Amino acid sequence: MIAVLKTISIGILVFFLIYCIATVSLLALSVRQISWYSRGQGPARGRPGALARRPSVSLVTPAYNEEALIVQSAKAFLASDYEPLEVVVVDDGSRDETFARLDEAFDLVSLPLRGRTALPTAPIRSVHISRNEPRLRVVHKDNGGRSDAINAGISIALGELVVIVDADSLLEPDAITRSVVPFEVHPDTCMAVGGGIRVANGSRIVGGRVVTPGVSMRGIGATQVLEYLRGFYATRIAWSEMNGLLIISGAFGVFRRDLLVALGGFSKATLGEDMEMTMRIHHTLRPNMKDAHVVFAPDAVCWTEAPGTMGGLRNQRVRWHAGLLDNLRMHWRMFGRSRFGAAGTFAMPYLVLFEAIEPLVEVLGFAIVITLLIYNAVNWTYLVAFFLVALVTGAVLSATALLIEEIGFRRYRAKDLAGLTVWGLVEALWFRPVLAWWRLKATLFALIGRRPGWGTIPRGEGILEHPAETVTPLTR
Amino acid sequence: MAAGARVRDAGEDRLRTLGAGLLDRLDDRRPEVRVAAVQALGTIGSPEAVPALSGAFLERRVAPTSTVREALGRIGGESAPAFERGVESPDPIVRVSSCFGIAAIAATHGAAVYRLAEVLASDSDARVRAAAASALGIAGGGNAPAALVAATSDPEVQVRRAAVRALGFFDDPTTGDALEERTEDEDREVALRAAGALVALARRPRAGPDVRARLESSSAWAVKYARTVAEVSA
Repeated sequence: MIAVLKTISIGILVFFLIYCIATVSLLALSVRQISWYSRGQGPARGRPGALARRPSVSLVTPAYNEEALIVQSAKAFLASDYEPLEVVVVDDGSRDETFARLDEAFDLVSLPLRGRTALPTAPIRSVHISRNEPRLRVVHKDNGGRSDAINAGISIALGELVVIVDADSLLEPDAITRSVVPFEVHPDTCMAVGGGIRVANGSRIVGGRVVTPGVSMRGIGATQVLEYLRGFYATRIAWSEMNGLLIISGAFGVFRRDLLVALGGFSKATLGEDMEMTMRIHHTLRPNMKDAHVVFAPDAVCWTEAPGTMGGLRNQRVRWHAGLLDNLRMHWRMFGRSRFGAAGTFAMPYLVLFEAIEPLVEVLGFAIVITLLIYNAVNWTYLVAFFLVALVTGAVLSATALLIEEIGFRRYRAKDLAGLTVWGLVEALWFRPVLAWWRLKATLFALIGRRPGWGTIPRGEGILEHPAETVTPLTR
Repeated sequence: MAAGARVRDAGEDRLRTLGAGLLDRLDDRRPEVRVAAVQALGTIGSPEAVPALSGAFLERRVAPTSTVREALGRIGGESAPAFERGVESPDPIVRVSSCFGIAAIAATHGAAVYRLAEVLASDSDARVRAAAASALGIAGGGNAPAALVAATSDPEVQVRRAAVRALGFFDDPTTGDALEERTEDEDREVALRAAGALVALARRPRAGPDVRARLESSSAWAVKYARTVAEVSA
């Protein structure tokens, strides 16, 4: 048995070495791109306002029990520097005073509502326009969940592009303008754009805006800052460049409205509806439209509050992992298939190996080490190599993320960067194992059919044939 | 005068030399250099660049189609043949982009509206017809509303949306019937855009009186919606 465990442990080490090579390759591509980016160059870049007419944008934000911040959020969204813009707040059957707060602050007037909307949703009770801010629409509907609320907003919106933003997200004033640039440069082929999400914990926030970026010095906050920098700035830039980006964060994404309608709106069949929509765009468009692009715009920035407790983080990560597994199941046909471009040949295998299976391998690695220690049969060379790989991987990822941050954005002070560096060195000892354990639990839940949060989820969803043909060209 | 002409000639020679250098850059292996060369050629506006840019546009190489189209549009009327060929391309993306290219040079291309109207009436791809309708709204011109009115009955919803939206840009009393009919369209967006166009026309001098009467007598939900939005926005 000991021999078998030792053989498996070597396999695990090889797995992590492959992970290191794949991830460092992505990082190298990201660093190259970001150095172009910082000089305003690069193939995906262009001048804002290249189109004679800027595409009209509808910002859709679902709100459920958000009475405390919804007015401030709506005001902050309306203060974006982009025009033409309408803001559609969807009150998803809140049990608190969300709608009343909006009515009070914006003096809402009811608009006529016709029966059939572009996407099927839970019943819409009423639609309103604000007397003192005519660019604001408020949709009041029965509760149907986040995807349902977004779909209601898409149905009411009239913009050529739809920006999906969480009600508690803090958009930088130029975030929409910057996220629209790829649509202007590639009006025929750009289908969706994801913005960069940053952790607001530790930053100074005034009136729904981050005025002084900062980093919480608590481990859970700082490590998530690092994690987001790695996730968004160290790898998504590379996936975007390869046109293999498989997730646009639900906190801030921009889509062609017609395409969303043609695809049937956001799915209620998954806990990761943002990733599912991105995968569906690739799955349905790429076979017939090779140059359909899903782009990451790192300079379009949205700040979000990350969980500040381990309990909150656990719930979030278990839900995310369950969503990932849902989406991989729904779009497994893309796996390894060249007709989906880099999304099928590289991104899907990367997700399966290093996101879906990796927690199992990581926890198995720890379990084997503990077993071998108990039986006093540990191979110290292997053990040192295993921890070195884990530490070096984490350190390289973190250092590169910070390097990209410094080259391209320079949002944080030296003190914050120093704190991030320290937390980056120790995260492999506590953060990664804990995450691996939670993700493994999510996998086990998925295998036995148990689902975290958000109720019962229907299974299966058809893939449409030619949605691109129903997408209206952007006026320019 | 002679000195002025000499300076002008020298400037043009210099631009031609610069343009020739940039043409070589269209084949650079780095995409960002090719994009910059295309943009610079458009900024210079040299007609000598038209053949190379036309090839790049029609074959969708060198740089994004929109970037090449924009450069050709900046050069002006000399680019018309490229867009004329573009609307005949088998590639719908080139046809879409050509429609907007024709609209961009409409001021110097006398047949622009006629050509766009032809595309709107005859192209088999709804995306291209929708682009032609939007482009007609940008190009303007006396014959455009008639073509757009016909397109309001197009079977494809995206064409109807583009057509009713474009009609809102023309102060033409003959468009009232078609727009009013579309306020009852089964597609919510077509109905709202048609109503929005009527509300916009109500403020125009020629179409205004007729359209205001229509709005007063209309019971369509979309008209009520658009009027409420207009009142709140005023």
